[in-house]
Parts: sequence; structure tokens; C-alpha cells
Amino acid sequence: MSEKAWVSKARRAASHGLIERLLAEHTFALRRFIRVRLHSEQQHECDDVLQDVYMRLSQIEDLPVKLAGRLDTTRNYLLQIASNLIIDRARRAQVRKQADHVSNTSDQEEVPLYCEIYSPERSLANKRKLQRIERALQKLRPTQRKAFLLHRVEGLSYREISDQLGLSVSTIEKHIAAALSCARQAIAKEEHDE
Amino acid sequence: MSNATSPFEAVASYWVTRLYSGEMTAQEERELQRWRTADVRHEQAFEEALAVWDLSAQLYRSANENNAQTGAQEKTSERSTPKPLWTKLAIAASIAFIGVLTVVTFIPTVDKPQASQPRIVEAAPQPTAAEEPATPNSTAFRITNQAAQMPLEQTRLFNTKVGEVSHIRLDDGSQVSLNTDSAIRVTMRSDERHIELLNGEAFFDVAKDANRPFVVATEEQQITVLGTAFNVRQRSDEKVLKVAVIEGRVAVKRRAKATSPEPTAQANAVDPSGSDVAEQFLLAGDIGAFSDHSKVIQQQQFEQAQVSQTWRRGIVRFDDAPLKNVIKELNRYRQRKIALQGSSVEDLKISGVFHLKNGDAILNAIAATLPVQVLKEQEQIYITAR
Repeated sequence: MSEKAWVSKARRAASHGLIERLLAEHTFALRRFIRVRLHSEQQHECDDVLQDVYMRLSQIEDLPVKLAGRLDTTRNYLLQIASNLIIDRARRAQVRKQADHVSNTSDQEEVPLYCEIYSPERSLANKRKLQRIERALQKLRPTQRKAFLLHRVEGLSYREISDQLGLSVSTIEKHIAAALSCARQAIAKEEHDE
Repeated sequence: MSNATSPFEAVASYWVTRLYSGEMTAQEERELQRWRTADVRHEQAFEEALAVWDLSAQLYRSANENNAQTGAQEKTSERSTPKPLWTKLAIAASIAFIGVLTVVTFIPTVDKPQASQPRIVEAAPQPTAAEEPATPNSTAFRITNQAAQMPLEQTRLFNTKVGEVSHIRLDDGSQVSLNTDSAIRVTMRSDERHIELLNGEAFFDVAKDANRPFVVATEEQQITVLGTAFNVRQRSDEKVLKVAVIEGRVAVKRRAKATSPEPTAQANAVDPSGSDVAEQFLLAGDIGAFSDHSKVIQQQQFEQAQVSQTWRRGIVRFDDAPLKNVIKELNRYRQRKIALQGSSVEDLKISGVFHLKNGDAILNAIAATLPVQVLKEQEQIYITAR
């Protein structure tokens, strides 16, 4: 075996150990998160997502190095991965569902907002929504906006944001919730106007 | 659809924010599930808040496309090019990188599915770009990075000056961060990775290697790990060794010492022969304090265990701490020390997050919040009652 291949194999082995340790350590938080996001108490559904998280982590090269930089936010990193996988699942399910319903086009029932956002062909509408959210965020206090964007866009944990802005974690949480409310209202208003 | 906003808007936003804190408790989960099932409108509000939440992760992308000013971009134009988080933190802290940066310190902040992620780029090591002129201003706080080649059986000394934090990447993949005014001696053996903490404070993120335990020895104690992250602090002016475990598990054991037989008849733990002494296990979230004759383990103080390592990013936090403790801690990083005058000021309480790179601005913050005044002299800075 070439040295390079050996090194990458050793890395992968080390990485698997790390992943198992990570998942073991954060299993309660992860499972709770997945249960809430799926709105399901079904053990096997939760296991499926966890399995996906494992797969996703094992695809990341040099995971230890990447995690080293965010030691205190490892959990947030794991939640973010789980979150993305769940969104992806929902999107795929939505596509399947629409394919199934292609024949009976007559049903004009309202599509709930969360389905709209996940459906790929709505990207244009999404773009408009994003602009709407952006404008709404401009009306917020700068710290509220900053806290929200640092979390949603930069991927910082509440604690990191608290360090960066010099505010307590609970204040950061309040700011983020307020910004989300504001963004949601902007979207609701748009729907109302149409 | 629903008109303008549902009255459950705020509650739904609150729950989504809690969910993503990663710190939701079992009780909160039950409460949330109860709320969601109590009324279909609750569930709808929650799902819609989640949808907006998910969508908002793409804000950067659209902001980049139409160059709108968002809060995240108002700082500088640098923000328009995606940079890895670490670089951003570094810039935010106006840190000077010295030495060769061989570690790819790119952090995948968000792993969005699909191609909607212009922000994730490989970090090209940029030793020159980030390198600021090594100012003669020795009081400036700085963070340095280095990678250490360590041939087996060779011992190397690493140390930091006052006001310096150094991140060292060892051959085996482990990462050591040295806090201000600290020193360690590293020896890589075929059967052990041996670190001696000579003074100060160090954070270890240990790469797993079942065949080569990672041992951190201090004057009195020996800490053994296989793979974990933890913080060790032993200052010459503090008689206590503090070990804070962030992840995994470590074993702390009193070092066998031939010189001091210690005839004391201590209650359990210490074997006077020093040969087979009790090991103390610390788990993630634990903080252990060890002195000559006692040990105190604070269990599951997760927040504090986390706080114990913010210095790695050049940040110190205080929560309702007496001013004398704050000043003592800040002085660790300073050439020009701060002295408190008068006992009345010593016990004033202060809370806050201090960025060490801010230098003397910290003093202004203290002067603004407490009834004190700051006198700057050539040699020293004095804080007195106002």
C-alpha cells in the first residue's frame, strides 16, 4: 500500500472512532432534535436520520481538523447536519408526492408554506421571499439582525455569538426569536397581499 | 392562507430558536410536543416558522447576488468574499498570524444540501496575507499558529510570552493551545505521547491513538487520555491544578514522587508509597481542581468547562466576578500590569465578555461601568475609587 493510501486509511479509521464518540456523546440532544423536527416518536425514523448523519460525517475529509476549530460548538454542527438531511428528505418526499399527483391536476388545494419552500420549482418564489425577509430584517435593531444572521448564515452557535457581540446567551436567543418572528410576518404579509 | 400573522407567531419562533440552541431539555421537548398537538394552528405556526428559518440559511446567497446590504455585510467589503469562519474570527480579532500556518483551519459552518453554498471554500493557508508587521508594541495581544515536526524521542520546548496565545499542531494530529506565559515540553515516544506542563495553561485536543496514550504531567499530577479535549491550568502563583474536560474522559493521578514520602495519614486516595495511587476520572463537563492535599471535582458544569477555554479565541468572560479576580486574570496577558488601589474597589462586581485584543479599551469599559477611575502611568496602570 502506498504511504498516501495508508495515511488516508488510517485517517478514515480515526475518523470513524471520532464519529462514534461524537454521536454517543450527543445522542440525546440529536435524537431530541430529530424527533421534534420530524414530529415523530417513531424510533426507526429517528434511527434512519442518525444513520444518515453518520454517513454524512464519514464523507467529510479531515473531520478531526474541522471539528478542532469548533470544539465548543460540536453539538451545533451535528444538529446543523441533521437539520440539512431532514430538509433534504422533506424535499425529496415532496417531489415524489407531486409526481404521484401529476394525473389528477384538478386538486387546487392550498399547498402549505413549508411544502412550497422545499419544492425545487419554487426557487423563484423563494428568491422573492428571501428579498422580503432581507427587507424585513433591515427594520430590526442592528444587534437583533446581526445575531440572527450570524447564526443562520454564518453558522455560529448562540454561545459564539454571545462572545462576539458581548451579550448574554439568553439575550441572543431573544434577539434571534424576534428576528425570526419578524421574517415570518414579512412572508405572511406577502401571502396576504397576493 | 392565514391572515397576516397568527397569534401563535411569537411562541412558534421561540420554540424554533430553542430547538436550534442544542440545549433543549427533556421537559421542554414534552412541553413543545404538547403545545403542537393541542391545536392545529399551533402546529401550523411551528411548521411555518421552521420553513422561514430553513429558508433564511440561504440569505447570504441572495444577499451576495443582488448585493443588498444585510447586517452581516455592513462591516467591511471583505465580507463579500466568503471566508472560512476561522479567518473571519481572526480578522474580527485583528490577530497577527506569525509562523507557518500549515493547518487547514477551514470550518464547514453549514452543510447545506444541493449546491446552495458558496460560502464553503477550502482555506488556502495565508501566512503572508494575514501577517501583520510584528509590531514592537509588546503589549498587544496576539494569537500565533505553528505546526511542529516531532521526531520520535526528541524533546521540544514550546512557550508563550505574556499576551500571546499559540496554537500548535503536533505530528500525530493533536492540537495544543498554549495560553499566555505558559510552557510545555513535548516528547513523542513510540509508546507514549508525553507532555510536561511547566507553567501556565494549555488546551489539548488529542487525536485518538490507542497504542500511544497521551499523558500530560504536571508537577504533582499526571493526566492520561486516549482521545479527548480538555484544558489544564497550573500557574506558579496558584497552588491548584485545574483540569476542565470538554469532551471524552481523562484520568488524573498523583505522580509518584520519590523525594517526598508524605507521612500524612490522609483519608483515602493518596498512597504514601506513591506507586499505586487512586485514579480520578473526569468526564466531559467536569472540572477538577487538585492541590497538594485535596481534590475537588465539580461535576457536569458544562457551561463553565466551555468558558474555561474561550481564551483560545482571545476572549475572557466574567460572570459577577469581583474586580480583583478580573484584574488578576487580565494581568496574565499584560506587560503593563494593572494595580488596584484601595480595598473598596477590589470587591466591586463585574460581568462581561472581554476581547483581549481590545487592549486598554477594556479599562474604559470597566471605568464606565464601575465607580472607579483609571490612571495610566508609564510603568503601571492604577484603578482607584472615584
